[in-house]
Amino acid sequence: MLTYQDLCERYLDKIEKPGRYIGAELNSVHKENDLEKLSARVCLAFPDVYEVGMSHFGLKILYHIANKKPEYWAERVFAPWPDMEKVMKEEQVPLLTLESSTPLKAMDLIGFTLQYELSYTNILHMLRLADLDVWRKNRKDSDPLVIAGGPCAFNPEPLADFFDAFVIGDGEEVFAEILDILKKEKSKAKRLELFSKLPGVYLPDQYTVLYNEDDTIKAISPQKRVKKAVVKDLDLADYPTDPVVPYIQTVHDRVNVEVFRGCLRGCRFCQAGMIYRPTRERSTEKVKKLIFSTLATTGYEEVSLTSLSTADYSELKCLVPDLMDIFEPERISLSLPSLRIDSFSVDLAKEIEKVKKTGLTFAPEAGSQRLRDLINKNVTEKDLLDTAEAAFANGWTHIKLYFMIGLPTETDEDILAIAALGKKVREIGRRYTKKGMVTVSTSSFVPKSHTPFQWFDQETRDELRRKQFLLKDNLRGPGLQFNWSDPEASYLEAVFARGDRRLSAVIAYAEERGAFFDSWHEFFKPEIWEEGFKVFDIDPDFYATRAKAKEEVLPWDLIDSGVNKHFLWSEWQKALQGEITQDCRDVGCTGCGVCRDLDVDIVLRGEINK
Amino acid sequence: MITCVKFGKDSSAAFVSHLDLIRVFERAMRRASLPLSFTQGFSPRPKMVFAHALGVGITSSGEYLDVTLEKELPSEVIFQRLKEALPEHFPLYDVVNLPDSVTPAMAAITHASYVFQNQEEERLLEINFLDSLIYTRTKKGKVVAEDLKPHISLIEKTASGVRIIARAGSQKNVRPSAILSALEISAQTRIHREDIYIEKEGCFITPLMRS
Ligand code: SF4
Repeated sequence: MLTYQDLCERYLDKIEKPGRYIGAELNSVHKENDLEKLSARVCLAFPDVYEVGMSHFGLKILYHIANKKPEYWAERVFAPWPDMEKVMKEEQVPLLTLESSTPLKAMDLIGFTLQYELSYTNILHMLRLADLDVWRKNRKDSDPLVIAGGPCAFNPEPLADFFDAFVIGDGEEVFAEILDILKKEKSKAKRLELFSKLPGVYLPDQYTVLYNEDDTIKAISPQKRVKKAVVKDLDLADYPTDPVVPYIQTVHDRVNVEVFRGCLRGCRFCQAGMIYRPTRERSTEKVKKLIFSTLATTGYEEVSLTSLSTADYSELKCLVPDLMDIFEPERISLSLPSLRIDSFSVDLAKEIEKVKKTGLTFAPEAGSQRLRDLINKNVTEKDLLDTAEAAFANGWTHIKLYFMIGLPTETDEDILAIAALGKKVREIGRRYTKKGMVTVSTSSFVPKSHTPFQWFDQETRDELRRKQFLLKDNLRGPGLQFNWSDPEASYLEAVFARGDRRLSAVIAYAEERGAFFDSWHEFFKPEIWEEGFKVFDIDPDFYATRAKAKEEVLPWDLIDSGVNKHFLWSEWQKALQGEITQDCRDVGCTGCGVCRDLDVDIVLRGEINK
Repeated sequence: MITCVKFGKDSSAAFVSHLDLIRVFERAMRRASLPLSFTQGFSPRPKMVFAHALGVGITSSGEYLDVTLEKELPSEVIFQRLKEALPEHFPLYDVVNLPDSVTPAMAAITHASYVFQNQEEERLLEINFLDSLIYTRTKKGKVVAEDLKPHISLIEKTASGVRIIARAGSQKNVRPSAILSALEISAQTRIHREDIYIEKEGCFITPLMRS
């Protein structure tokens, strides 16, 4: 059988980036395929191209957890780019693992990362390239188990008929146990039975969904809900200090150290903020240890402190200067994604730009105070203008602002408020420099499961487009730039984000007809999807643009994120009243329920940054 | 001080493009704790220049780079540390410290030696008997024809294939793919760069021997 190496050599002029398939990167793990020594072989799959997949840290964590034990071997696979797919088909080579060019079919288990809804067709496509049936019920006992995890697993229903199992929540501990089960048990049925006893594991074929006349769900049986898996102490969680270092440039190619998991700010649109609760910080000592050992094994020139809101890390004030003292002479840059809108963040940005100048992006999310209160984004216009002032005063000439269009109850006034805000920031910039520049980026709001907005009817595509144009018309002028996203893609995302099992058929249909890389603008073919919905007589509006009733059974009700539905509903009602809910780290428990339900505590290592 | 590093690329490393190579070496030198020096500006880059870009897919046993280190270190120390730090697919052959005044390898080199391995070795050897070897390509919409023959110094059969030494560098550069294209050879060909040279007073020296 040909390997990736053979294919790249043979078709050198046809494959644009052979570096995607080398699989011999620094720190990649190669083991002897000795059945005496190996008790399980698994493949970690990311349903997008190498450069994107290698930028997600979850995959690297699982890779490390498996490979540190001599008896397990985890390899990787990504969606082959169409040029490679074509030659693989010509040579009748099935999808292969990167490390050893082994057909995926020979694995004990294939684990997919579900990071965004528009990657679903890539999953099916990869299974088909691997010569596996996409439907669970058609796969043989000798075929590998196909499982998935990641944020989209919190509403796994549109994929329910493809996967053997889903892992909901923090994967570190569960994955280690899954590997041990693969070692102990060889029959598929037995393995699955043992999986089902693990925390956070959902076996879709054990559940039946009954529907009402009007297509809403009548009942899900059994009523037993699947509680998400949760890591209580991040300091004790496994974390790789020798991640694979890609040869080709990937989206994020740097040392990533997660300083905390979870976020308690309570933004009502944010799924990550709800499903990863509560906040659990890593200690600074641990963070530093991870950073320095990773730098030694990788030689990276950039370090990123990751989390949902890094400026909230309680020890950041001390950590950043400590790190910069060491990084500056070594020319290692530090990056802090997700800055807050306050002067503290500008000070941080100033500190880290000693090595490398970076842009500044702030996310007010909504233009008017009314709407910012509604989404519980605790930021005032004054906060933003003061922060912009501080940024321009400190030498930045370009600020990016990020907003959403299509939030609940949004009117044209709220849209015009975005334009007004953009202009005010520009005026401040112009006072400091003629080059003062503001980029306003917008995306269409997609209501997600497990959030207070899960009941909300997404705005129609026409309405979203109209509002985009309204904003565009009002954002003209020197020093202003406007970016927007395609409402068509956001609509499809909304269908799957709150979809149910009946959508499996449509996904399979669309993939068979060529839907692939849907999240890539140049490959996205909405016509295929439209056709698919028609063929199966499914109205996509039912999922995306229909308001859901309070008593309605939602497809993801069987998944327990720990945050209870009453809390989400009351947040939804408070939103409509314009009432805010404060961060429970400041005001004490506000009753989301996660701490009690999952028997886990908020872990803070220092004082809260204000 | 300028440190000249000689390294190679095996069949996996052959797919690492020239642009990516810079990152591979910067990171290897960081892992080796070598004191890199950096350019000024908003995004500082290490002062590191490769002698001659190598096409993707070509293996090599004669690649060079000049790196400026901030502190002088014995070449054996650099060699040892770098050898440990480089990915196994990049064999390290030699490290030499040179005075700051040497001509950068990139500007100095004049020739490169390649070994071609395919089913059409006879046709490659025939170049010896041709008067000219015309290579045509389209450049900005115009067809340009060029005779490569005058720029080829040597063609000979070796145990591992056909060796061709041709002009390389900033003055005149003959890419191995141009030779294949001029002969209209489309058979799968393995190409290996043996070394690159500087022609000096009628002799070939390697970039390590600059003074
Ligand atoms: S249960 Fe209470 S304390 Fe815990 S995260 Fe929810 S609101 Fe905060």
